[in-house]
Amino acid sequence: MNRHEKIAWFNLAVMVCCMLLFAGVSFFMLNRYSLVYSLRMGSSVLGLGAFMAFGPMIFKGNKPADSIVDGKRDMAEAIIFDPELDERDLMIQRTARMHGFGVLWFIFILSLFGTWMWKFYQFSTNEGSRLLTITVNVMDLPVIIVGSFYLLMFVHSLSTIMQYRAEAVERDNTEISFRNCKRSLMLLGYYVVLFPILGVFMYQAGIEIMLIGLTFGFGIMNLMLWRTRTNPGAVLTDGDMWLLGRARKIVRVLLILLYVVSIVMFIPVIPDIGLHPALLIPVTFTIFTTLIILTTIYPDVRDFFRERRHEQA
Amino acid sequence: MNKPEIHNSIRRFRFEHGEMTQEALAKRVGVSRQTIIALEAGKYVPSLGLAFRIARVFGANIEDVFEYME
Repeated sequence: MNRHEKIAWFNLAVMVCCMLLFAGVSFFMLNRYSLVYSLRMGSSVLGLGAFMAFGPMIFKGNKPADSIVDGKRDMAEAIIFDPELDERDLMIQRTARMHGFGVLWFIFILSLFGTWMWKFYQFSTNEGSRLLTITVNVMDLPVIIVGSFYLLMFVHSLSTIMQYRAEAVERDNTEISFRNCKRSLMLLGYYVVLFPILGVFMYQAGIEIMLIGLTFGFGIMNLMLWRTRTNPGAVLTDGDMWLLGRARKIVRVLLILLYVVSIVMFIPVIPDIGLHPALLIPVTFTIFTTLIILTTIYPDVRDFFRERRHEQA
Repeated sequence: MNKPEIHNSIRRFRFEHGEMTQEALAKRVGVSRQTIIALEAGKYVPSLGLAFRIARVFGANIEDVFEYME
C-alpha cells in the first residue's frame, strides 16, 4: 500500500475513534445533563483529531527530500504536506484537497438554504415584516470549525484512497460508459421515487414550502448528477456541443427573465399574480441545472448503447 | 470521435537498456516507483517534463517512447 494511502487510512481511523469517543462521552453525560449540554461537553474530545498530524511521522518514507528532481514541485505543498510527493502524488493530493473543499462549500450552502427553508414558513405577511433570527451559542462556534475540519479531512482521505485504488482497477471504454450510464439513470430514478415522498412530507408545512423544497432538492440532485459524470476521456461531438450551446443560451434568456420579473414583482402597483417571489430562484435554478444535466447525461447514455451495438456487430 | 490515448513503451525501453529496474528509472527521473508502475500500466499520463526526462534517460526521442493514438 502506498504511503499516502496509509496516511489516509490512519486519518480515517483517528476520526472514527474520535467520533466513537464523542458518542460515548455524550451518552455518559446524558445521565445528568440535557442532550444539548451533553453533546457540547462530548464535543471536547473531537480535539483529539489533531493526532492525524502524526500520520506522516508514523508512516515515514525512505526517500530523502533532496532526491526529488522536479522543477514544477510546489515547495509550499511539499513542505507542509510531504517532502516526498512526486508529480503524480501531488496531483492526487491536489485533487483530494479540491474534493474536500468542494464538499465543505456544498454542505455550507446546503445548511444555509436548509435553515432558510426551515424558518421561512414562519414568516407571516399578515403581521407585516418581521425579522427572523436564529441564535448560535458562542460555545458552538469552535465546534463548527472542528466539524468542518473533520469533514474536510474525511473527504480528503476518502478521495486519496479512491484515486490510488481506481488506478489499480482494470478498465475499458465500455465499463466507463456503462458505469456512468448506470449512475446517471440511478440518480434520475431518485426523482421518480424520492421526491413524491419528500413532497408529501413537506406538504405539512404548506404548499409553498413543498414547492421550494422540492425544486431546491431537485436542483441539488441535478448538481450531484452532473458531478458523477467522471469519464475524463469522453470527447463531446459537434452535436453535443450544439446541444450544450443551445441549452446555455436558453438558460441565459431565463436568467434575464428572472431578473426582470423579480424587479417587476416588487413594484407595489403591480397586482399580485399569485406567485411568491421566493419560488423564482429555485424554479430557475432547477430549470438551469436540468438542462445542463440532460445535455451531459445524453452522451453517456448514447455512448453506452453505441458500444453495445459495436460489441454485438 | 474516439477517446484519444497516449501509449508508451517504457517497459520495452527499460529491458533494452540493461534490464533497468522500475526503481532505478524512478530514481533517475525523480518520481516514485509507483508512478513508473502507473505509467507502464497506462493509468497515468505524465507531465511534459517527466516525459522528456524519461526519453532522455533512454537516449531516445519523446515520440519513440510515447505514442499519441487517436
